Amino acid sequence: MGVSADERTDLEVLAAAVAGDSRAFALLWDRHRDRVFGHALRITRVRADAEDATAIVFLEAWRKQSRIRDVDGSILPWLLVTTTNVCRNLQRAGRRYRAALDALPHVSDRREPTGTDLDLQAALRTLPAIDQQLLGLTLEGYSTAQAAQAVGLSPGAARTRITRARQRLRTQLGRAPIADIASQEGPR
Amino acid sequence: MTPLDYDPAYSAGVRNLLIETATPRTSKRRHRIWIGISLVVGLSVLGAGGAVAANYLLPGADIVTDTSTSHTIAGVGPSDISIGSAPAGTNSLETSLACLSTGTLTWPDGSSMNCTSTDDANHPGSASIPWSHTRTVFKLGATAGTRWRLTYTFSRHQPTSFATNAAGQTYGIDGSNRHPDLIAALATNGRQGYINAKEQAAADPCRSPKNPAAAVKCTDDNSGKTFTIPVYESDGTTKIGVFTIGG
Repeated sequence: MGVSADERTDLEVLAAAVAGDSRAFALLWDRHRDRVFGHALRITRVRADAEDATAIVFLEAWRKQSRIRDVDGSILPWLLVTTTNVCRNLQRAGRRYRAALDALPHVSDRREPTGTDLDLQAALRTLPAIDQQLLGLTLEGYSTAQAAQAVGLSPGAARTRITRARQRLRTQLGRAPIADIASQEGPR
Repeated sequence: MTPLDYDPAYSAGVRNLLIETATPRTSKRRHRIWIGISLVVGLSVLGAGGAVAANYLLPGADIVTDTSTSHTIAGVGPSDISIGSAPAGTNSLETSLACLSTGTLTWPDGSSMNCTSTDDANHPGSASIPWSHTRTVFKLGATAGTRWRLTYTFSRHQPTSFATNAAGQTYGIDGSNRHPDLIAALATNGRQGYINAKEQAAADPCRSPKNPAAAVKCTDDNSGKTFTIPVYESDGTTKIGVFTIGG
């Protein structure tokens, strides 16, 4: 999507936006929109909802700019955690932005996602929010340590939660859930 | 899972919304200036689609940094307005000029805006004009008795280069002094792409008037007519939508 290779970290770009360069904020959209959308699509399975959720995640990033926890200068883990949270209650999360988003145009190709992992999505939703966030990050290719940092837990606590969550899912689904999901690209 | 593309029209809209959201309150007017620039300096390519210049990443777009906060002043009739010394590093002045009564207002570079309705106060004309940092007076032209309101912000523009595609065509944001082969434009379906400068010129029925009188007659004869040309990807051949000129 972008043209020039901007070498700045997400945090540096965000700082520029906060300092008044509003266009720099759009650079974060260019960088991370597709990853956030992919994650939202995995959770919601409805294209329009996933697109809405993606927009809301970035609007929330602006609103909560001083509270974003980075991982090695990247805000993508924070965006993905926020995606998990937004998708849990899209109505409530989108309420403050509804008027602005409803005014935007759409094109007519509205293909919906295919795929057979509806079981996994339903099972994930039975987990506590923080476990959903942790598993979501590991599904996106982040290590346990990075996922821990993103949600603000110690690595040990995160590891324990992830292990228990996977066991619960295995019990519910009758199979190991994680190996079936390949993330589209690894983390940067 | 088949990877799906994010709706491109919606994405363009969200992207602009994010820029609007991130624009500091004191310079919200300056942001609208950037979108409205075509209205004043006659860059017709941005007239119908609009908002292209707000895209930070398009080649050829100036990187604009404010060097001051914005100031607002109101007055009546033609005026030499003292706006003080510009901060170091300034090379431009962002202006937003609104008519508070009917009449014509003229910028120092000769571009003008004609206001005929009371609603024009809500539709300021905008221009970014080159400004030497030693210059302290803004020479505003106006019809006698016309009330006006000027908002200005000192800024620094840093130009970026056009990019070149595989076919050797340059592409990017059109400017008053430099023109790419493919001009950035927003298609009517909301997608961002490029129109071919030659196709744009060919679609203009008044491109080669024989004399000034013929130019005026041609414009009058064609007033209200619209022409549609294709919008391409940066490769100059993949069509992604259409752009409407005129009207």
